[in-house]
Amino acid sequence: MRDTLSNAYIIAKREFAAYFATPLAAVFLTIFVAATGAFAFYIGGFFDRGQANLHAFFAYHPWLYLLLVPAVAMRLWAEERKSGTIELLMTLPISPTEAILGKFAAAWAFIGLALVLTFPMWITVNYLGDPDNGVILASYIGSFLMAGAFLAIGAFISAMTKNQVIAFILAATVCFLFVTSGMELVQNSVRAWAPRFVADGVATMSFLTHYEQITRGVLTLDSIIFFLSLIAFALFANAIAVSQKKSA
Amino acid sequence: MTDLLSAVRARLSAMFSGLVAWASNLSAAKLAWGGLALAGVLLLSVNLISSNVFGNWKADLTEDRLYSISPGSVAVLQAMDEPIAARVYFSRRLGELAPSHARYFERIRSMLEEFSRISGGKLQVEYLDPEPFSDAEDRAVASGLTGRRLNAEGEMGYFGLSATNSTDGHELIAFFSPDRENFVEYEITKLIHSLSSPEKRRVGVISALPLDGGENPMTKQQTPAWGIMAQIREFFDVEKLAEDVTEIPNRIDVLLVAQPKGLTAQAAYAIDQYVLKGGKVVALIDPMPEASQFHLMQVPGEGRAELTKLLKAWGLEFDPTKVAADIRNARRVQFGRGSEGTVTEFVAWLGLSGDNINNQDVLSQGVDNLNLASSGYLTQVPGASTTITPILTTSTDAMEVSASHTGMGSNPLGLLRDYKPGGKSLTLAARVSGEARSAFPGGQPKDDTDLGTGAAGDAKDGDKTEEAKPAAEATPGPNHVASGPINAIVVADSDILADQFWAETRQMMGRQFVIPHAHNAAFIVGALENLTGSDDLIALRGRGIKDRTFTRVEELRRDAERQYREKEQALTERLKSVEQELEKLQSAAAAGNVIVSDKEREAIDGFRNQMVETRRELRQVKLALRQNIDSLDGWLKFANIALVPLLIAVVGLGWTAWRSRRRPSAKP
Repeated sequence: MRDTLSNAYIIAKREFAAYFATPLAAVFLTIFVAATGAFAFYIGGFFDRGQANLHAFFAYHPWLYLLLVPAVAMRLWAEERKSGTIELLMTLPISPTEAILGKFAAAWAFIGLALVLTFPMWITVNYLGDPDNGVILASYIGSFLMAGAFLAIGAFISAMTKNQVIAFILAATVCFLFVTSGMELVQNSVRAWAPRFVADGVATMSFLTHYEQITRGVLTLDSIIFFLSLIAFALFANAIAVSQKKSA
Repeated sequence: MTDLLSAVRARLSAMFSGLVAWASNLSAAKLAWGGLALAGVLLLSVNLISSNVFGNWKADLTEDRLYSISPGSVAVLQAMDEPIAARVYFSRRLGELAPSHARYFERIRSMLEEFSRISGGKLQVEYLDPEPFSDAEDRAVASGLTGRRLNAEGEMGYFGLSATNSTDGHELIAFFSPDRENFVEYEITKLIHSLSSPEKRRVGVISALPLDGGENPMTKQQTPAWGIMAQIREFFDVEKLAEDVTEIPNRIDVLLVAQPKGLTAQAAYAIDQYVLKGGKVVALIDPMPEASQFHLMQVPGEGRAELTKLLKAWGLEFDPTKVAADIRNARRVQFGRGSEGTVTEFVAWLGLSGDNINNQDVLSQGVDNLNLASSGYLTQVPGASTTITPILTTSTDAMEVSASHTGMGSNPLGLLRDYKPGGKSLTLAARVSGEARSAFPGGQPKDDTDLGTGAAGDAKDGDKTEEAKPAAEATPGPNHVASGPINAIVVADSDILADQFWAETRQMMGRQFVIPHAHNAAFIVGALENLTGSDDLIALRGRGIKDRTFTRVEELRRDAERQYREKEQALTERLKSVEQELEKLQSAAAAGNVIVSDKEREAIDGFRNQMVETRRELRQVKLALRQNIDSLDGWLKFANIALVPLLIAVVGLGWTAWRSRRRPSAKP
């Protein structure tokens, strides 16, 4: 276990550094920070609402992640498969689990960095008024956990295909279903054909419900378990996909 | 033990050997995807179980701990001395239609479980799903719950709570409105409190305000009761006392004297004796009761002479002709209609928060913002024997303005223009305690006509007749108390009670919900409760009401407003005089009896140009009002959307370029 984590850490470090080998990282971070700011000010009406909180900022994170996180995730495995480096990776003295954990951790840390770089919004709201910084902290934690879930799903789908565009579209679609599964529209359509426990299960799996709960300023254990268990499940699926492709 | 384990192992091997043999024949791919399907089932199960089991486990990061049980609730629950049975009705179908209701229900359920645990099981909670046409629905309706229509067939969904105690006392929350989610802990605790302490304290109310509604003398229409009374009645039995009452009954636990119009000397003596004998009082006195100006038909300085006299005996001086204005706590108001409407800071309407509310006093617990209108102020009588503790104060930039400049027909712009910071803080509300002397050292006054201090007398002399005429007082009777320890809370404003300053009423499913936006009611009910010795709910009452506006923007707006209003007035005056001059010249020319010389024509043209120029300047002044705020908005947008991303891009690209240049040079 210790070796697994230490190997995964080495891979994570290498992968994280690799993000900055090309200008892509800077482009992604720039777009992320600009988009979160633009959504908060122009769509969320942050300034016009005159309220010292970051609701207008966090409310659009699920929808932004639908576009931006699959873009980070799509290259995780699809690129390796397309260029054939996955075979090389698998010949290294590391297990697929270590590679999966390492790659995921690096990508999650990268999105975490993007979130950290939105700190001017936090400074802005504290400059303008007296916000509840506890709620803001909880919202950042919730946003980071949700990004992890988006990313794990994206990584799994990336491992299923060689084509990055297909990986992106599929990941965005699946994440969209997870985001909206608690909505009335989706619930009604599920209840029309599925037994009640399935519909309840689908409702429980909604990103929005759990995320909104956390952005109110309260970190509930069931929401944390939800995001972490979903990440674990998607990484397990990722491992199966990688090992299947390896054996194929 | 070892034998037992071996037996179990053998049994399990036998049971699963078939399964293992079957699985070993499967291809690796089938096994892998089968494993994934099992993991999916596990994921669903874990989440379904955790949402039911771990609902109570949370880290509450909110500043006011809105999602944690407050000490006030714990005190109420631990003080329960008889069991309470609560039934929560929640229609599952309602949760399916609106997941926000389902989430809210989960919150209430976990809170009630915690409540039940804290009460040592005295609070018993039952959860029911009142499906359409079921017995549970009948019980929900019979309990008084309000339903929400679910579909075109008329099926109803319910989400409320009904609770009873052992003596058949019944309390109800007819529908848990999401609008009031911030107050849910308070509402449930309050319900438990009223069931577990069925004996309510009694508050005596002496007031000329239309607290329970009344007829508007101008429109002749009935006005509704003020929301504050409903809040008070939730915790107290209310007994109205006349303004000419001669004795405060012993059953009164606390007295609320709110802006009397014609308190008689006899009544004042009754209050005086009640307080000196240990009675508690909350007194509100206002130089300009704006919310009820028509009802009271009062002009500033009228009708509060006796109360002013009592306050003086308690060590407090109140000037009924003066209002406290404070630029730093001024609220923004809109006055005038249509295109003439102007939004500005009204220095006589105060929104108090932070340092202006004494955080050392128990009353300030949970009270963060209070709205007052044309409030008076209190000063300590030199050499007073009582202790005066300010509870509400203005900023040190406050000034005194004449009460006649406020109320109906006041000119907020004029007040703002003439504002000059007084350099001292004014006390708007204070707690009075300690030894006080009777305001009637000679004993009970014979009657009001002797004194001339009734309503008629007030109208004549105003509150300047604070000193009652000693000749009218009889010798002290055997029951007269000359001095004693007093306990009172005095507020120099009565508008603090009026709905328009602290709450708005929303309609939902035919029911009215009061959504407070300031802590006024919490403050007043808390004051009554504090004086009757029950502090449990004081801090809890204010939770969930917190106004977090952009203070920086408010400051900018205020500064700009002051700066430009002066300019605007000067320009308007100049425009008027130019227009008059022009009109004079033009009308003389139009009459045809004057030959307009070239010089005069030049003057007319000059005036015209001046007028155009002044109007342009005026427009610019109006535009400039928002300039600073717009420019702040623009800067913040630029910083968050462009500047920071640009810096990231520059640093990121620079870093990449540096790395790529460094790499080849690193090669041997």
